[in-house]
Amino acid sequence: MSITAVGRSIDVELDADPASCMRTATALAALAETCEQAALVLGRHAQLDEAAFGGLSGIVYRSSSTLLEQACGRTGRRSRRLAEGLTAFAQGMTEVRRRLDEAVAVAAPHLDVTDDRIWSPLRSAGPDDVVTAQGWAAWHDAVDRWRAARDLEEQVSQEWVRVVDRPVLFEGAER
Amino acid sequence: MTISVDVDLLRQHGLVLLAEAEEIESRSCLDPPDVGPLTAVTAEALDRLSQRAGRLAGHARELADALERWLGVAHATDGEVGLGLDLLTAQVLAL
Repeated sequence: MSITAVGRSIDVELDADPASCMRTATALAALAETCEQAALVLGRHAQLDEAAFGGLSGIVYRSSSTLLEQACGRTGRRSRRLAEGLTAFAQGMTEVRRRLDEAVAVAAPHLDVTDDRIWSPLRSAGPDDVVTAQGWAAWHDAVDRWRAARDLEEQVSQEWVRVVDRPVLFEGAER
Repeated sequence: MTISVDVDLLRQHGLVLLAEAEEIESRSCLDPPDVGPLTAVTAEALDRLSQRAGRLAGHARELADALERWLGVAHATDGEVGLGLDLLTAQVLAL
């Protein structure tokens, strides 16, 4: 898109909702803590000595407790990673929203801002046309801020995709 | 054959397992957030995790149940026979 063409616009809407991401991240952190705590408890069960539970059944019990401990640990780590990733995503998107709001703020005094869009001036600035020249200056400034915001949005999204796509061994590792 | 068993401690283990299972299950319901274009893939990942946590809680309950059943049978046969019981279900062993 040519930023000097007349009648152009940029979209300053943000699709993601950082607040809902933070709520889910909090829930994930709670699940992580619960699983990590359970892993500690099961680890203690797995250390039960022969005097408390002897024989083959005691061996099997300790082995099963160890398997459950490991499964709890893995689920806890996965939950923790998702919680941290989603928190970073929410924080990143909050910063994107702030930068988009800055673009709107620099544009609003000089340009049309409607329906989550900023519109460029409708004509080139002629000699002594101070108002239109100010409009173009605001447009360039807003576009720069908008680009920075969208670059950050892309970066934050890619990082979240990496977090979500990581658990290739998640299910298989349980077996 | 003698098998040494601390019945009170094992009963306590069973109760702790049930409590942990309940706690995990109560935390396993995760509302998918609004992540824009990534909402669907995020919801899928959270759903997988929720299911995994749910199965984990189920396994903990099965282990607690198996322990309780074992204690019941062990008490009934105390002093009479050696015990070679299946303590655990196939599901628990297949973790």
